[in-house]
Amino acid sequence: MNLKNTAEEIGISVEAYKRLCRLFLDNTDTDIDKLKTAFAQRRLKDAADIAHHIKGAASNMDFTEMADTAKRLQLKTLEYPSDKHELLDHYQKLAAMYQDIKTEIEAQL
Amino acid sequence: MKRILVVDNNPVMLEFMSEILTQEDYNVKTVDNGVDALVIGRQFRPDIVFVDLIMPYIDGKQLCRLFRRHTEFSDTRIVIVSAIAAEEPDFNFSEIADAYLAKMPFRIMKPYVIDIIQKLESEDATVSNKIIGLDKIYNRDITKELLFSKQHMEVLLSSISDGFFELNSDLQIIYVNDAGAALFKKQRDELLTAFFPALFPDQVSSQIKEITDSLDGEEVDLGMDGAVRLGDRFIRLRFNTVAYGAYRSIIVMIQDVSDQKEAERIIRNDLKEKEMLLKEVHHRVKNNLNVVASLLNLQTTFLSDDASKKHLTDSKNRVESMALMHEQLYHTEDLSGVYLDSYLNDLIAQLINIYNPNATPVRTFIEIPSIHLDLTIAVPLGLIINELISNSLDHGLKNQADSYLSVKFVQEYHTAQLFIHDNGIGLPEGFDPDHNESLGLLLVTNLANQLNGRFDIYNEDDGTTAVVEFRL
Repeated sequence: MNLKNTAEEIGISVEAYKRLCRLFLDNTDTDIDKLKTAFAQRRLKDAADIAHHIKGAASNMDFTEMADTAKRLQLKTLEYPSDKHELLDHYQKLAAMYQDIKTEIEAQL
Repeated sequence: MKRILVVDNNPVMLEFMSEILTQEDYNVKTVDNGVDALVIGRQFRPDIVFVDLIMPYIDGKQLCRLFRRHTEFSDTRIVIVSAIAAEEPDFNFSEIADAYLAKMPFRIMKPYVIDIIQKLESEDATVSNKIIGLDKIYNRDITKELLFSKQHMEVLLSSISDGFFELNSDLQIIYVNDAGAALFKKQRDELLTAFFPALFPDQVSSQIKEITDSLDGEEVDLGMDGAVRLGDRFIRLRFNTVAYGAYRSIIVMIQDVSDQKEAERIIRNDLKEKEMLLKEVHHRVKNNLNVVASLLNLQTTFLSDDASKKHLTDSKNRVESMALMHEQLYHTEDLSGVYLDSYLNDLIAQLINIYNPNATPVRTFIEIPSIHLDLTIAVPLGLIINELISNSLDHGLKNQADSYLSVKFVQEYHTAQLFIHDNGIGLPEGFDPDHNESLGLLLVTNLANQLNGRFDIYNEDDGTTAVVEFRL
């Protein structure tokens, strides 16, 4: 991922795209924490909504792999009965994937 | 410079839209909810508004309808920007918007946004009546689940007969169902963003503000005891809060209790009417018993035999004690019985007045608690007291100087004891209450049995004591 190239592709300045990235990271940090809490408290409907939100934000930013993982997590969350271990596994995948993206973005901010 | 308002609850999307539109020299404002969109929109008067569909509080479709409805936005062009386009590709948006752009990755979105604006700016050009960029949208089939859940909720809320309101923290209406709008005789769209307390008279409005200020997760009722008047209807309001992340809403359920109130009024009136009728019946029974007593009294004047006269007088007194009971009943609020102290004080005074055995009045010592007795107990008890006091006044205390009579009623748990004592001449020697021919004492024994109790009468050093014991 190259922020400069992506900014050019979008048609905005690099600084503006960096602002978008910072906003994306701030919001997704919060959403990942909220998702963890929702799973811990077995609030699966809330968890599905949060995963949906993460998926939307990731697809806007064109992080398709992360959006797909969030989508699979949302699907699993909506299954009944849900498998706790499977949900945890998907959550950890999503969190790890996001962490990689975050590290890559932060390195260029 | 064209003014553009962007409404979306995703801050990244707002930043993106603001950036690309500012670059093109548009005057841009962004808001993250429908209520602010209307408030800011009224001042900003946008030429174009971009509206997301899935938002908390007022959703995008409702917001578009509101923009369409209000005359101050009659020149505003509306563009829906939503990711749910994939789930409703055939949605006919023409009634609520001028264009519909599928929300796609930022990387490719800018040209679509600019193209739509240019088409809207050009009077000749027509914007597509199809969703633009549908082929570019990220496949989001799970959104169907969200949409289904939303539609499901909408159907549920539309089918309930209670009014359902959702308010934001400024007490503006952000959702109302059909029943809620009907209570105020308005369309749902007309009520959106309205200040909820302003729909009510001042006093109720203040109560609503107090309640909503102090809500802490527990449901609070307004009008549970006395319904709130709303025009020609009576309503009951229940308040609660829901919170999701940073969002906090106040939920108000309004129940129309007019029919219930009307039913209560009819029952109250019926009851009042029945009470009046019952009082009237007691009044007439009392009058009729007094007529019977008068006839018996009149009959005695035609008799020369003292024994016969006494029998008639005793009967007249019995009838009068029953008449007194009915008189007490129609003077009281509760028609199911009488207060013992009031009834017995009057009865004893009436009997002393009738018999008046001595020139000097009989001293009376009366200890009767103010307890409420059911008619099934009060009537036989009144007759018992009538007989026993008549006996004391007519026999025991007759021609007795310095006479006194005490009447005491004691209640312990469910057992009651009536003591009637006089300092008269006492019972004749060898008197056996179970084997005597006195009609009065026979009546007392039978009435005591009727009360599932027992009767005893005996001499003491200073006179005679009669005891009736029964269960209450």
